[in-house]
Amino acid sequence: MQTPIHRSTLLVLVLLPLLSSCFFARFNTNEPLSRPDIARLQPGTTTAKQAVELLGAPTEVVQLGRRTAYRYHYTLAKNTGLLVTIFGLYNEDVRSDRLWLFFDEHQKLTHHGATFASSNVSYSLPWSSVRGDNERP
Amino acid sequence: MVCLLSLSSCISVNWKRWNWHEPVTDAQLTHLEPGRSTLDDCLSALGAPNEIAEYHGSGAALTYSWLNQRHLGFSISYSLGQMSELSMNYDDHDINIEAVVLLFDEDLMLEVVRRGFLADMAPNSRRPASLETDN
Repeated sequence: MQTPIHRSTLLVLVLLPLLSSCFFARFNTNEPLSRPDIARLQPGTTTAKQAVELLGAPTEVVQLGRRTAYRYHYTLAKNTGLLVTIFGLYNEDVRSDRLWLFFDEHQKLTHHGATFASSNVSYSLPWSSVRGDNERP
Repeated sequence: MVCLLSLSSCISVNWKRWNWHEPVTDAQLTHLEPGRSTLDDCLSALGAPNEIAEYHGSGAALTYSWLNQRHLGFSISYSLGQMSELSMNYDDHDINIEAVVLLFDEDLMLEVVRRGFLADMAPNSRRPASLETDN
């Protein structure tokens, strides 16, 4: 005796291969930056030693003549991929929190600049608009 | 549907987008004036740059870069037997990162603002200048 196949079951069987290839991936680089710690930095007062004690080791130190610039960054990437039969869709969204500290030749902080954009990162597809377009602090 | 599924191993059409960081708008640059704007003015207006490099000894080159690019490509392949395969691939994969570069003199006063593709403008990577010979 044959078992009747319901239309919904048939539909699932047809659609199942379409869903076989999709992925969401998230990549973190470094630790998030701490806004309260950054707020404690005082140009003209904070030394390089104090900055490193507060924030840890920078990811990069750039020599600018007798000055130096320390870089801190936290990067977040979200990737989305979808393969529907012969059509492949892929999106990569990358945002970062960045902090640069400028020290004079006496290792005193003279300037600093920060950007916090990692919260704007999103999973999306190629046609969608993403948060943070045309934005910079 | 069955035909499409059977073709999936030999034909593929790909639509990709890369969205890296935030673009710098012209409006953000209007308040920056070479010869008058300081490093603090620029950091307040644009935030932290992606890269910093040495410029003319004690000066600095700040680079703000971003990418918002879409790309459509396709590939076709057909097996001609056990030992050979025919394939064609169209994948225009040039990535053009856009950037704004701010150049500061040794007093950290804004000297030049440049906008364009990063590959055309980024300062060449090199060893830092000797402190005895700079200036």
